[in-house]
Amino acid sequence: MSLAITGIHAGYGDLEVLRDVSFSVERGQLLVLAGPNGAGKTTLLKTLMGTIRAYSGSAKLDGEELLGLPIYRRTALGLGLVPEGRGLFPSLTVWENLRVAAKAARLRGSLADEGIQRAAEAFPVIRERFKQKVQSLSGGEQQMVAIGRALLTNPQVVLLDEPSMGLAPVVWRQVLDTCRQLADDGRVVVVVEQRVLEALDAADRCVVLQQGRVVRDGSAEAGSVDLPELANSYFATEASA
Amino acid sequence: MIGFLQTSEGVVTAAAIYLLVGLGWNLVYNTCGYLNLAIGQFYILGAVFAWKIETSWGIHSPFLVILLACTGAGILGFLSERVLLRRLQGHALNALIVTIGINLMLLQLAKSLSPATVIRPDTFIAGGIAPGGVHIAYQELIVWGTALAVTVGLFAFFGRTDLGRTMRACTDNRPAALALGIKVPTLATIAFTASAVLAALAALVVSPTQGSAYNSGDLIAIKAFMAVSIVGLGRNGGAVFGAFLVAAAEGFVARYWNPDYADIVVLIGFLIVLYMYAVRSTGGRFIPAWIRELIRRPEPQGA
Repeated sequence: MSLAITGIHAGYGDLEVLRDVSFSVERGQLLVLAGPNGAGKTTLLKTLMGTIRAYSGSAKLDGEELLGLPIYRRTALGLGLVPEGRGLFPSLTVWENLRVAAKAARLRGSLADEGIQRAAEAFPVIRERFKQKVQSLSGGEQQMVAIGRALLTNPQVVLLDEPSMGLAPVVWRQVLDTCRQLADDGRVVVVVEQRVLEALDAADRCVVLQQGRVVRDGSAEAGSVDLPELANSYFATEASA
Repeated sequence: MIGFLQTSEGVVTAAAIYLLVGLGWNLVYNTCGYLNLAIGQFYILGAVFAWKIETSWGIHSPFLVILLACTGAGILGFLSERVLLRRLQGHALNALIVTIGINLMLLQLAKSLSPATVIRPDTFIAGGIAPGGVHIAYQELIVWGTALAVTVGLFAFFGRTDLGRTMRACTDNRPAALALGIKVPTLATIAFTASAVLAALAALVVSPTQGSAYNSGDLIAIKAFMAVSIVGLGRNGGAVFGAFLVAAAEGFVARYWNPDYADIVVLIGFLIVLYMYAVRSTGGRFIPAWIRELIRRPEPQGA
């Protein structure tokens, strides 16, 4: 299982955000996608999921091209997204949130129920809160529901966009442990994150995007990441990079 | 006492109509994110189509008339959304302006299909009952039953079906729904078409008792809008309360004050609702500063 991204150019209308982005991730790896605001991290996830159309390039999951497919086909092939801000439906209950996502992913009959059970097994808090409206949950519980929702289709690639947003440090640590567990179970996990230092502790790889280009692609092991250089990438302009 | 009860009976009928049209307002607002200002014309076309089907085609079966008239309104609603509004999703102001254009077009259609006088399609069942001396026409019972069935049906639809839950999800978080792969534009088409059918259905059931003029749709739409706005636009539960409130204000003012003032009172209420929305959306207070200044208690001296 691998996710191979090659030469992706994408953006919004005439505004090109991603420029020739290429890297690949193997099964069991947790990759942290870092970079300053506007670097194109979220745009890359949206391009992979299909909410933004790429101008050119390729994204292959186990050799199967993802770009050009509708969103539900990508989820069926094994892509799951936890979007920025969690993307939950606040006035729906936890169960309804999962059910809506299962139907959007074209899970029919017992497959939808199995998906919801899978999410509940991964996060027992989901089962305890099935009948509760999402807006009444804590930030950490909402994040669990969002990750659980991404697991409905048993995805082999889990993409998480800013999962630490609004979370207390202890809860953020739990979310990172969950991400690590997902990777150890044999999935590809890609985490877009601003709180990089904590994320690097749990990660195997670190890719840094700057102004839509990959400026670093390497191990995330302690000592292998040049932290001053990483910090500089958050402030450097294209001319000085 | 009989007069009060008879007025109350009329209030229930009016509330049923405002509720049906109001639920149409909510459907489009919740799913599409804009207001359908043409809903009054979809309402009146229900009556006009029914009258035309009966007088031109000679069809008098209530079921066929309902089926054909609702289908006609539904097709117009479908085409309006699919051809004119689909590409404006996410641009609420532009969509709103287009619905004004649709309103004008449909008004002309209603005018060309009906005479200048009030039209009155056939009643589905003639006669009525008079419990305690209060006359209730069978047709009015049909109006009540239709409103009740549609309201219960919509609550069940939104609460218990996957499509209903998905439409609520679109209302809650449209970008997230799109990111999940939910076909939001298709749901918008369904909602717009359903709102057109609901409005037409309201006119279909009430016109046999009260009659309708081709240009009376906007007033009904305004009253229905007020009904759904009082508690909060988009809340179907609140629409039930609002519909009864508007109908009661209208009915009892006409009964105990002056029939000519009924619409004026309702329209003043409408202006107050609009004012509350304007103030609330700009984060202000309902009572202007100069009035608050007038009624403010003087500070204790030496404080």
